[in-house]
Amino acid sequence: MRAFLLITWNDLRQSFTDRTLLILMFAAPLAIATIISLTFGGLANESNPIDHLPVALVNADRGSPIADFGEAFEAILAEPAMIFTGLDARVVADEETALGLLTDDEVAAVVILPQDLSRRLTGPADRGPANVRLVTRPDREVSGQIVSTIASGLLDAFSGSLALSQAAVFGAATAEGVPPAEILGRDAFTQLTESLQDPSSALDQRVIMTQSSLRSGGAGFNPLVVFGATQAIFFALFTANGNATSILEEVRDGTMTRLLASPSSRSTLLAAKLGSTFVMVLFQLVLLFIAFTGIGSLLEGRLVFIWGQSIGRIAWVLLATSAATTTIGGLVAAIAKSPEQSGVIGTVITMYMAVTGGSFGFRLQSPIRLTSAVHWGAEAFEELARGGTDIWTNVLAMSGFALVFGAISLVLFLRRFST
Amino acid sequence: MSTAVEVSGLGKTYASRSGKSVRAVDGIDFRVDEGELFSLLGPNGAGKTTTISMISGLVTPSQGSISILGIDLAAHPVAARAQIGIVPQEIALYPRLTARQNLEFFGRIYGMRGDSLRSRIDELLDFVELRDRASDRVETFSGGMKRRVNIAAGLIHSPRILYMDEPTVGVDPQSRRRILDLISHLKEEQGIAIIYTTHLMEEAEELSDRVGIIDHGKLIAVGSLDSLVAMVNEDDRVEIELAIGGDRDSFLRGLRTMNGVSAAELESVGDPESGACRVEVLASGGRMLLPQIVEAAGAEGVPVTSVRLEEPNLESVFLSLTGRALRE
Repeated sequence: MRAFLLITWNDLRQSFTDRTLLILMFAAPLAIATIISLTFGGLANESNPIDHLPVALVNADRGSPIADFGEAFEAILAEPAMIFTGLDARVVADEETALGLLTDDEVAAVVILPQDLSRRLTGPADRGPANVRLVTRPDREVSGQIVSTIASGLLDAFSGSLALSQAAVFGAATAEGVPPAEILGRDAFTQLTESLQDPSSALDQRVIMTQSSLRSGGAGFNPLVVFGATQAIFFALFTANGNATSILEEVRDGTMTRLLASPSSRSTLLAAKLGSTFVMVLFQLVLLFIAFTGIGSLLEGRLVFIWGQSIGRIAWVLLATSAATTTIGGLVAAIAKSPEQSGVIGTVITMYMAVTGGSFGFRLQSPIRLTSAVHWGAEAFEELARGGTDIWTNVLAMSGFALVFGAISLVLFLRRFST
Repeated sequence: MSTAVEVSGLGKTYASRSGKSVRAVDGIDFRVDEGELFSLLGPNGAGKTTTISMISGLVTPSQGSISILGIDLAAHPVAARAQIGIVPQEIALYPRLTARQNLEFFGRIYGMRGDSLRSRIDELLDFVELRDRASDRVETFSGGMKRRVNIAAGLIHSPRILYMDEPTVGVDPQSRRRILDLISHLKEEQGIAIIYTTHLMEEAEELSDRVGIIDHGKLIAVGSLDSLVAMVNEDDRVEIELAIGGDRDSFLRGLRTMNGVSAAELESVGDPESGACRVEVLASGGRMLLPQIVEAAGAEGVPVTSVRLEEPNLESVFLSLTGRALRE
């Protein structure tokens, strides 16, 4: 244990006196994630094709005696063969299910038709407007705007058809010199008749569309979470690779010779080297996540715990992420024959994990993302940031990475040092 | 004097990439006593570093046994390694740490702490004459200074046995002199058993109590410098340059009759008109004959312009044993 602590302390001391390394560990991920989330925001994460935007539709409209606009809206959106809108809508039963899909990033937006949509559209204007709600993700700003435009267009079309009806009834009533109610002559048109008393009432007085994002309360969704988490893990992989490579540097420089000749077992020495990498990565992630919380709070103008309130679960994800990244670095160093080779292989693997895990703004939906520690870690942090608790699959996956890669690296290193 | 290191039948075979086995060290036997400096002398690739690596516990031998102060290295590696200090060929130090921090770290690895560690560090920094640079990062040191800290790091836990693997490689003559003086001091005043590998004959001759000559993984000769030289049975060579004058033939006849002289030949050198010539004498104990030779020249009126003595050395021993020069 003494040797373990000494070597860990020695590695940390050397790393924290290396300015270049500190910039790579802390300043770079902070700056990149903040700039991306501020500058590009929702643009960067748009991975869905814009001609088939996935949308969830909640149709709560109960209709009115003369029309069921909700049903019409649903038919148009859900059956693209009817009218091509560019949206790929899924009709879901309730708002909770729809928001769940949005949270899981399975749809780009949710459209919620209120239960009084048809009544408000066909009734007198003084009843007040119907409120059609559009809920989007902050990281899918463009998708949200597209859905908003299409939904508004549909509502305009409804309004247009309503106005056409109004005009026809008015025309007939004028030609025959009778009141419009007589032309309609049926009770079912009473409401429409009432609305015709005020033909100048515009649609925007009868239906409004309000747009909101997923964010709600303290455990809200924040682009800084998405970009912060992926960038932090991306750079943690670099740190892990660099620190694990120091095993090979110590072999090259001869300090490993001294350590191996000391009265410490080889497994202790190697465990200490990997342990110091783990401590370093954990320290880096903790500091970065605190810093992102600070930046998020500054942008909000108040203290916001952007990673959620579940400190215990956050700790679990941090530990699992650190363990996974450490052993990935360890494995690379164990396979490589020289520090230079380890640097090259490590960079390739880190870039692969970053690309498949979403560090560069786009997120793959393919199963290949499951091979990325960045994906598992970032997904868990996003879940916690949304106030969710379902992180154990991610923790388990990263622990699996750590166990398998850690065991392989130790075996390879021990074999190398036992010649 | 008790035995510090005893090596018996030591061998190491590596598997090459082509699948063939390469025998780096082949059945070596030797013993080093406490307070003795034993040099392993051989050309690059002879098996010196592999041998040192095995007796340091860094490389597992394919065959043979190693005893460190009576402790079997294979059976009790941790206890045996605690008695050993090593000075690797590389500068085995952390460049971003200061000299003191390096020594502190390696001392702690060996279980040292507190005042005893601090005083040992001060003592070693004084010993290697770097006390005034103790708080400077090693990366700012010259090559010679790094080498001295490298030696101090090997001594931090006061080992009774020290392995030094070519500790003067790549240093300037002045620094080399300083390092050799430090090693002499370690041997003579601290009684540490030192196993020293080098390919530099002069270092081995200057420092060693005994020398083992290693070539192609085999220890081909072991003994003191004198016994090794005696083993090859070569005469000393005395070269005397003469100016014109005196009775050269009589001088030559006199030389040939001197006790210990096996041959004496005259040959002209330089411009024939100058009349300068050289006499080459092969003799045992040439150093003892020098006054006699000069006296004989004076008696015959032959002016001597220079005298040069070449005694058999490790180079000639190596040449004699292997048929090639040490530096080839």
